[in-house]
Amino acid sequence: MNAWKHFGVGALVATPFAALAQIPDLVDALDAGSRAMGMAGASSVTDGNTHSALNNPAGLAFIIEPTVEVSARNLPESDSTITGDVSAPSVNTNDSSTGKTAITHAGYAFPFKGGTLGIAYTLAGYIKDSRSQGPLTDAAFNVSGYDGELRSQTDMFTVGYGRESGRDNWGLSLIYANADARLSESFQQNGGAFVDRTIGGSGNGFGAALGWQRPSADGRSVIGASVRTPIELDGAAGNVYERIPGKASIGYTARMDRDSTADFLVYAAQLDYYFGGEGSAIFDRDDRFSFGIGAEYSYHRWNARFPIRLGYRYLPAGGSGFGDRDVLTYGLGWRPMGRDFSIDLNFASDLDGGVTDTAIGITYRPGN
Amino acid sequence: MTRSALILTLLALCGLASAQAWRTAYERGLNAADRGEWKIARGHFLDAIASRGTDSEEPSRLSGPVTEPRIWRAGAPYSPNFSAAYTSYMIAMGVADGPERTSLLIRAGDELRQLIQQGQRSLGSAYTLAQIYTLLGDQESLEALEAENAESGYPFRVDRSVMTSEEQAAIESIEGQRSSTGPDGIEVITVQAGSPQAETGPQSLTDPTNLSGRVAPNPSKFALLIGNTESQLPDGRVSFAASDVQAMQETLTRFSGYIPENIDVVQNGTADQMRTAAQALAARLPENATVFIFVAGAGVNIDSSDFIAGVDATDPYITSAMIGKDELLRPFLAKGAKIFSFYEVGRQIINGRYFGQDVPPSGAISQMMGTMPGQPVRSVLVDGAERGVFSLAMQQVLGRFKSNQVPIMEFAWQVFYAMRGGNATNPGGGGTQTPTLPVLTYLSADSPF
Repeated sequence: MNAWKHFGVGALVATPFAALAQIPDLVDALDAGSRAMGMAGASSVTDGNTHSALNNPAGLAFIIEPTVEVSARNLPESDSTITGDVSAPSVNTNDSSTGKTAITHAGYAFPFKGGTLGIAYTLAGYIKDSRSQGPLTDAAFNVSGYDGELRSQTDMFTVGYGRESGRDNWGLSLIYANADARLSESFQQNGGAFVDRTIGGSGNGFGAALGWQRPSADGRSVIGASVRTPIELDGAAGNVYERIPGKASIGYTARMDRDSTADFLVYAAQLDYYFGGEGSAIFDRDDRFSFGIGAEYSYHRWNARFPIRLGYRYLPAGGSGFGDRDVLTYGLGWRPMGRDFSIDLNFASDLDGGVTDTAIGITYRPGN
Repeated sequence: MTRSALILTLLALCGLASAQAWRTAYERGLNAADRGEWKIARGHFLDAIASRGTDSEEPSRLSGPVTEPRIWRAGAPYSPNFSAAYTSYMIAMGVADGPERTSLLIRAGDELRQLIQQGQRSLGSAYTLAQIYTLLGDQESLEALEAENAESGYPFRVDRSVMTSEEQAAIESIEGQRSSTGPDGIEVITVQAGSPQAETGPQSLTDPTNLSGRVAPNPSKFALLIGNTESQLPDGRVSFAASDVQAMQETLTRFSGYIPENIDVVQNGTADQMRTAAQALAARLPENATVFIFVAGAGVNIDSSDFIAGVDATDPYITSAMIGKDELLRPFLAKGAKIFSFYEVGRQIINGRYFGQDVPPSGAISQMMGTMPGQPVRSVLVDGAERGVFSLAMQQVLGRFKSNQVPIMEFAWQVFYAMRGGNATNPGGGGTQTPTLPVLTYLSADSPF
């Protein structure tokens, strides 16, 4: 018998998880490993790099020569125990791990028609929660041998264009999102059927982002804002993750130069608002604010610049079953003078006891 | 595509306009100036002024991420007003003598004067203004300018990229002569010995033969003197070329320590004859010799290279009857020689090019032109004989030095003042012809010949 018939998606919708769940909420807020990650992402809306194609396409206007960037980072995983009834289990996350390493961003931007065109792939969200059981039932049956996995991966493919216009930078991106969101579980109903089911799957949708930046006249500060539309997912993913939240961001970054040396200090703050993600069966997203503050000291020695970064980010949970994120970030970069590449290494430590994420990014400018 | 995405697209398409217009216009102006398209260049600089109106000697920061400071053109000054004035001067140089040219020179002078009055006293502005006053024959303004320069120096920095390489080199030579700090710490260019104020001695400058004695010969010094009186090129005849070469030969022997056997003369030579003479002289050079080259005749600049016309050249655009200046110098450079070259060659502007624009990029070379861009070479009558103003001044100054170690830049300044002066007993050019200061390549300002 297909136990699935005794079980409706609606039941899952009702109360998917109980409040004890602590899955790190990176469903829609994974930092793909840009240099801003070391500053808690606080400069992502004011930066100018290939990540800007998604974060704020206006930042593409800062790119004045062909630029390639690749980032790789760990994709954190968690282990949880579910108890209660499988239709509305309590989830208790026992452990988290760094998970596998993957390329999370690849972008190319080049000057085009007075502005800059950017093409990028960005891994924008990822969770993978492996589940085992405690005392667990499925309606009238006790459950044994439970093996489950909740996963979501959101890939965004972006084509963006940014250019200067008067004192401002403006940009627009078109986004194609592909998500794989599913809950897979198998278990034995004691005295009943063996259940093996998957809810969800792949889905895709389109969206757009609009961005603006205004550098100061002396080039020492930038204010930026961007808005990205919510993205409706069709396909099987829509069963569990109907809508990727939109995101509105505003941020400010400024630089203080040291008179006696070429060193300088950059500080940044950014406020993000996620919206429009309600209504999904499992990955229901609340509207929420997040913020980050960070600083970078650019140290000049040995014919190179060494940016040293520090930041703090707070990201509240986006839905039931997920935990808030208090993250301390730090990082280091290497920019040899007159060379065509630079490297960034960034870390994000979960202050609530989770793992430390690691990301490395390489930027290459073949025109140098 | 969602409706919201469409709305965002429409918003993004609103109000786009080109930015950093000053930078685009300025760089286009420099490119046009580099091609010798002075009118086009001036138009671009005026566009730059419309976008960003004030000259600045401070580095210009470009828009860019805060974390990646960008400096425009490696910190070069932003000088659209100076550049516009300079292009106006160069436009004038391309126009024949007449009311139009005078008007253009006056415009350029007014623009430069305005910059100086605004406190932007730069060496580039002062130098260009001095050339303008000289061309206009405005001696009073020129003297006033020089007095101001001596008092105030040149505290402002302009972007000299718009200037011709020859004039840039001349200004750099002037900068190399800075020798003292004036009041308030402002550097002052000290006028070198030989200025009208510094003249000493009772000798008449019209007849070096009044000065007795010969200078001790230096066997490592050689000279190639080329005098092409005849020419089949339009306005190519230099009627006093051959006589100038003869007089120069005598002067070098008497007053500058050149052994007669080390001086080769070509009079009314073809390109092949000039080539052969250079090769023959170079073959006799020891290593690290000093070579004095004097050319009086017709020359052109084709495709950025200078050519000296042989007497059989009939077309100013065909080089088969000409010898390239670099070809003339090459045999001497191959022997490691230091070359001090002087050209009494008309510098008429043809298609934006003129003789002397070609600055040797390598080798120890001094290159001095007897007249300014766009100008012919002129003569004066001395005791009934026609003498080139430039060569006459050179001989007069060599006669005054009476040395086999004449420092090039001091020599050049004395020639400059000798040509600008002129009275009953000292028939200098009277300001009708102004030489350029030497362009030095791998030679110092006090390198001797």
